[in-house]
Amino acid sequence: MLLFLEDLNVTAEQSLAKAEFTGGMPQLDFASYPSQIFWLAIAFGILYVALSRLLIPRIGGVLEERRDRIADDLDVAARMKIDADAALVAYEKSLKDAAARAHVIAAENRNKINMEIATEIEAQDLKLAEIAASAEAEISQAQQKALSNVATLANTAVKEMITKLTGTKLSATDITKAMTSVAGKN
Amino acid sequence: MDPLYQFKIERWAEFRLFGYDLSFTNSAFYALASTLLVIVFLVVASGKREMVPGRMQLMSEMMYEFVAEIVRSTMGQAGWKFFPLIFTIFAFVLACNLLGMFPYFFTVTSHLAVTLALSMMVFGIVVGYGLVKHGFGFFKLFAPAGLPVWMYPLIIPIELVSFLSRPISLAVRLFANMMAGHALMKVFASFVVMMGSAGGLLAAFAIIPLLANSAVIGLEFLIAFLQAYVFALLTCIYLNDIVHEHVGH
Repeated sequence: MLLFLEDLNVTAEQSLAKAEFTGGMPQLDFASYPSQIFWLAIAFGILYVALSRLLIPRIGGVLEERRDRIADDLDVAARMKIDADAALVAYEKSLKDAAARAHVIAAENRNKINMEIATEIEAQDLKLAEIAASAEAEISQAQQKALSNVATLANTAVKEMITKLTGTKLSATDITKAMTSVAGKN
Repeated sequence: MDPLYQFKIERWAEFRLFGYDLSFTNSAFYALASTLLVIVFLVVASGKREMVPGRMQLMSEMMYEFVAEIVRSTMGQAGWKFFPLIFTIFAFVLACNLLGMFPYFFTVTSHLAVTLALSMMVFGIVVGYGLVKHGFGFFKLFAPAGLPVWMYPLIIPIELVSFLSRPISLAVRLFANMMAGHALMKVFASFVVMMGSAGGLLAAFAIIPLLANSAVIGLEFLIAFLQAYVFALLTCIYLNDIVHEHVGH
């Protein structure tokens, strides 16, 4: 500890010597003021001119340019978005139109086909009716024929029976007349 | 070694003009070196003018935007004409402060003559521009609008004193910060040397001022930047009084 204090004393003496040499606080040595202020003015003046004439416009210009560029890019992007929106709307509209047109065409086709089917059915009905009518006619004809055959058969049978029973030969016409009158009474 | 020795002005070349001693000194050298440092840095950094900035360009642009933000936030668009001045003040003070952080380098801003000259320049601009722009209206600065007349004898001296003390506080703040910081670093460094050379247990304890000094050096870098910012900001605030159409509060 003593050694340290001794050491401190030595340094204190040295500092004192230094302090005498520098003359206390150099900041309060007013003799140095004119020189300091003079060279400060020169240094500050050079810096002011260099900054205000060259460097500030240069840096500011780059920043300005960048801001403009970004604003331009944003504008372009906004314009493109508007275009894209318009394209989307147009696309949706054409899609809707196409769907509507397809619907109309489908409806038309359906109507046409329905109509064709109806005509065909009608034609087929007519044809069937015709066939049925001719079939009916044939059937009634056959019936008539069968009935007239029955009458002829009956006529012959009656003639034979009368001939056998009475021996008189009656004409077919008479027998028919008699049968008809009997049939009429029934 | 005396912690004040580092502030000594050394005449490097004798030079007299009109009876004044305007010798080229270490202060003059470091002032010019600071100017050169700023110019070289900004010329190199802003040289490429690229749309997408590199590191150096980004630093110069950040510095520009930083000062621009100070000007805009305190004075608005009306104060933009003072932007080059504020930028110069900020860049110069910052360069002087940072250059002074190198060991054995002289700190220009640790001298009252320099900081007082800067603050008097600001004061001169405030008064000069205020008188040119507002004429007699400039003096409304000392009598805020809406104040009853009987208050004038009280308020005007107060406003006057506060107005006149601005350049002094501006100058002393920067000078005292830089000087105190550098003296403190020197004192701690001296402790390290003293205790280390004493030997024994004291030499082992020399680690304490060493660590303290490391912390102080970090703090000094912060102060170097902070004081440049404060000087620029306060300059803007003082100029704000006279840039607008209507003087007063």
